[in-house]
Amino acid sequence: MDFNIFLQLVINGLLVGGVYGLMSLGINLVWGVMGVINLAHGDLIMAAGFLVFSLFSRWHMNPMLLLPVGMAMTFLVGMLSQRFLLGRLPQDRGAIKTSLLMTFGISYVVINTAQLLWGNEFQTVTFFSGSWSLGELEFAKARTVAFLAASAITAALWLFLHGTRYGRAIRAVSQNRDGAAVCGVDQGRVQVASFGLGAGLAGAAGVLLVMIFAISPAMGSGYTIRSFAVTVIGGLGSFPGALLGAMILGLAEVFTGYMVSAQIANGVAFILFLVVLLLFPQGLSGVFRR
Amino acid sequence: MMKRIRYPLFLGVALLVFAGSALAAGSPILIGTSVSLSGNYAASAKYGLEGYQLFVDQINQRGGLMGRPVRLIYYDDRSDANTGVQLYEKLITADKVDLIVGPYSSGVTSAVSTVAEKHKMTMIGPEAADAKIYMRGYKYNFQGQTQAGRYMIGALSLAKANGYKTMAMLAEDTAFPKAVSSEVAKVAKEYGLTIVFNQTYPKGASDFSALLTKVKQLNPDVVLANSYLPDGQGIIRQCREQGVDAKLYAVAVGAAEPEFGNLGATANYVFGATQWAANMKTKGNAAFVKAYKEKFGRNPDYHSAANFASLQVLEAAVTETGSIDQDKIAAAISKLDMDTVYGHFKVDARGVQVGYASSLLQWQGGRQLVVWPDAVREGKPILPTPPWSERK
Amino acid sequence: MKIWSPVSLAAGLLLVIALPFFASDYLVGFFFSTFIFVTLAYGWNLISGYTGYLSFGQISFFGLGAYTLSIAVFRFHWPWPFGVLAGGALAAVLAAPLGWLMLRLRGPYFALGMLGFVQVLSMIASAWSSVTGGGEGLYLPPTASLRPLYYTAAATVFIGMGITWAIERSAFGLRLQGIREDELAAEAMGVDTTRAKMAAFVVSAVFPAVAGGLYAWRLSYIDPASAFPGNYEIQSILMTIFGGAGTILGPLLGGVALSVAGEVIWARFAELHLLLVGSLIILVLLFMPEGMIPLIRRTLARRRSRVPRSPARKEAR
Repeated sequence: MDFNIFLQLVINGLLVGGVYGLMSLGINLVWGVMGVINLAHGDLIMAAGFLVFSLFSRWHMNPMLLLPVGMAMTFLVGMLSQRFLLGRLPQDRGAIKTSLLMTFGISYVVINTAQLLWGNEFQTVTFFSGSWSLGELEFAKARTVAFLAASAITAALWLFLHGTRYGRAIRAVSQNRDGAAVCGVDQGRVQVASFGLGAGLAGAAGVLLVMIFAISPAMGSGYTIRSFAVTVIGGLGSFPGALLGAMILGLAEVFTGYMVSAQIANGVAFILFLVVLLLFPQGLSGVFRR
Repeated sequence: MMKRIRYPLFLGVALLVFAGSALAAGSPILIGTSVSLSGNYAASAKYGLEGYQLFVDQINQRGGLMGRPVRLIYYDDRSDANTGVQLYEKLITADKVDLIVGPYSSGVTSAVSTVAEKHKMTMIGPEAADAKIYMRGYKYNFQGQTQAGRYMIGALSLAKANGYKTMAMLAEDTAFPKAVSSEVAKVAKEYGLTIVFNQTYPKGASDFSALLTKVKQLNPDVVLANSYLPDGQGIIRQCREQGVDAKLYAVAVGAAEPEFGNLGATANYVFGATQWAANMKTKGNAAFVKAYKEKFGRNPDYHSAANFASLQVLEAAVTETGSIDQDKIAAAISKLDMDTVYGHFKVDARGVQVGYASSLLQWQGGRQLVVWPDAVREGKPILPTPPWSERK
Repeated sequence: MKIWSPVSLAAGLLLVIALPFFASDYLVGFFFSTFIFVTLAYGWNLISGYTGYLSFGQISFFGLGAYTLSIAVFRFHWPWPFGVLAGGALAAVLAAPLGWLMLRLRGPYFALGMLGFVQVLSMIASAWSSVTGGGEGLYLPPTASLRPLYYTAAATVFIGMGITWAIERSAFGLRLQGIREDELAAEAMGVDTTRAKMAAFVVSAVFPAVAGGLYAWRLSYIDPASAFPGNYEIQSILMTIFGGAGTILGPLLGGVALSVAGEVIWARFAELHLLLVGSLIILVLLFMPEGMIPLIRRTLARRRSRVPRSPARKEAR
């Protein structure tokens, strides 16, 4: 393989990986802190994307300026879901099952609402066209901007979790729920905030995605599964793991698409997912932890 | 904000139809169909639905079919063949429609054609370009759309006229796009073209960067995307992002949709197959376009015209036989040789469409212009496409 | 106390047998679809309701059965009943090693793992076009009559009920429920949890495979999207939960109730379909998470014993 081609594929893979990372962090937060598997994750991604699309159609402003709006909407939806729906479920042995199914119900509601508000068709935001060239290499503008934004948000999240009291409270609950309670951390509040934050991250991913690809209301579940695949590959509960998993998946998809076929590339996420699940239950980050 | 006119539109149409049927006496004739209101084909299929609806309106204003009001019954097949099959079963056995017409896309039509054949209901498929569907020995199915093989002839002709030699083809892995690919592959040599790349991608794929990196290496003169709207848009957009500089870009279906223009300046110079254009001098076309614009507030595209034409054919067949007898209607359609807004309708013994022809449009300055063949064109094709670096 | 008795069972059987003779084709088709869902539900009930391993991958066996039938009929010209049986057999054969791999995973990992497996199978179906027809799919000869399909589906439901009944009353069933309640404790008590889980997994794989084969034959067409319909998975799970997971009649009751409700909603409120189904899921989980059967049992028990409600009773919930 020509070295330039190799580099180009690496660039494409990493750029897409940036957005995947954002998707995975949202899942990680919710699953790690609360043990909840949020099946509505992909639909929140999609909803934020559509919201920004409709605003963009009206005002034609830089979609990056609309990013906070998308995030705020999903943040709100997440918090409300936790406060009034998920938080009401009995926290017994079957909690994982019921909360998972409830997020499924929520996802249906989100999809239908999006369909009613914004229609059924594929939409995209064409603001950044073309690419920046560096010699023979092309950096697609939309993807590069998305990658930078995703990195910025990831960094901000890390600072929040490690630098602020609230962030530390969230981490405490994910490490040891009862221990955190003993230290005076309000469980309910933390859960609401975490779910909201996880949803907000999904929203950010959605805004970035709609700038790069075309999305439709029906595509949400595909993103959900993909987000979980990334999380498992990287390792649940691990921040760097989520990013690692995302980059690996991005690269795997691009290289498979180039060397084998588009059909296999579409499914490589799940092959990796199963392989990691069965061989490295802690994810790839777990391998390094040892 | 996209015009959210679907709700009031549906209500409005329903009211109109009921009003229209109140004018004509007798119990209504029910025509059943499924429409891809959601999913990959939604953008294109809605034009098709409007074509059906306009015809039903007009026929009711004229006094209905054989003196009876006509009502269109449709459901959302979600661009999914499985759903389409279930819906047609429902239409035929539960709703007990008198007549049926085809859904959107070769894939869905193919699956549904079996249902029609099983229940011995005549069905014209206006959105099925894959001729293979009509080569299965079915007696009740007729093709109401130009054959896939003719879609890209215009692009190939222009390529030949400009001396282009190499071509890369991408296709969605479903019936129609693959049919176009295989037909093009058969005749490429006649047009002096060598196919250097020919791959498919799964339905629903959105990232084509890996495929296009391969295409870029081969540096083809022509890039042919046998794609619908979302994938067609994605491919062209990513051609720009990956630096694929071809001299001619053509998209089978996607580029004919007005929504393709959402790409902005990136859409320019792209060719699209169209079987029909608003200014074509086919019978009743001008009136059709005007009425459509008045009713829906936008111009029809070729799907609208094809669907409208298929109901024109159905009306002619029913009127000729004077009944809703499916066998008689099928016999009538197979012998029909008539002019419609879409062109000249004629099917061969198998049901394959041999009358309709194909033309080519190009996006120029944010507008679609028909540029081929010479007989119907509105403007001249602009070739070669300037490299992306020199464009806005 | 039983909700059903030999009389009601016989009555139900008679109704099912007689239906095609007085109902429209559409109604027969509707019940056929319902039976398919109920069969799926029984399969899920076994691995998730009784054994407690929440699976999102029943559709993988469904698709396997669908493709097996399609390939058997299309490429080898087998009569369709053999194709259906072949699907069931293949699923059982595949489920053994798959179960051995997957059942090691706990809780959510198992659920997600099965979900991932569905995607992988779907991808294989897409890519292996020489056998499966790829994205274009395979066209099967059209079925002449719906009745044989209807009766076969009904028979499958009855067999499913029967097997569930037999398992619930057996030591095997007790072992499964033990695993569900506390797997570690069960192991400590000497239960060979691995064998029990795998047996349940294998049996639970045959139901969706048979359902898939019947479904494909009815459709006369198969492609990756039709073979692995995501909404079928969640609907069958919802039906079981609504009816009562871990019960014998739960999947049947839930299946029929939700199928009818679904049809009504689809016919009248197609635009709000998902919204209504989603809201239903939420409401069921909040207010009757155990499902209809336990709810009915409790109501009947309360009425029969006529003991006034006491705080202690409420807690026993």
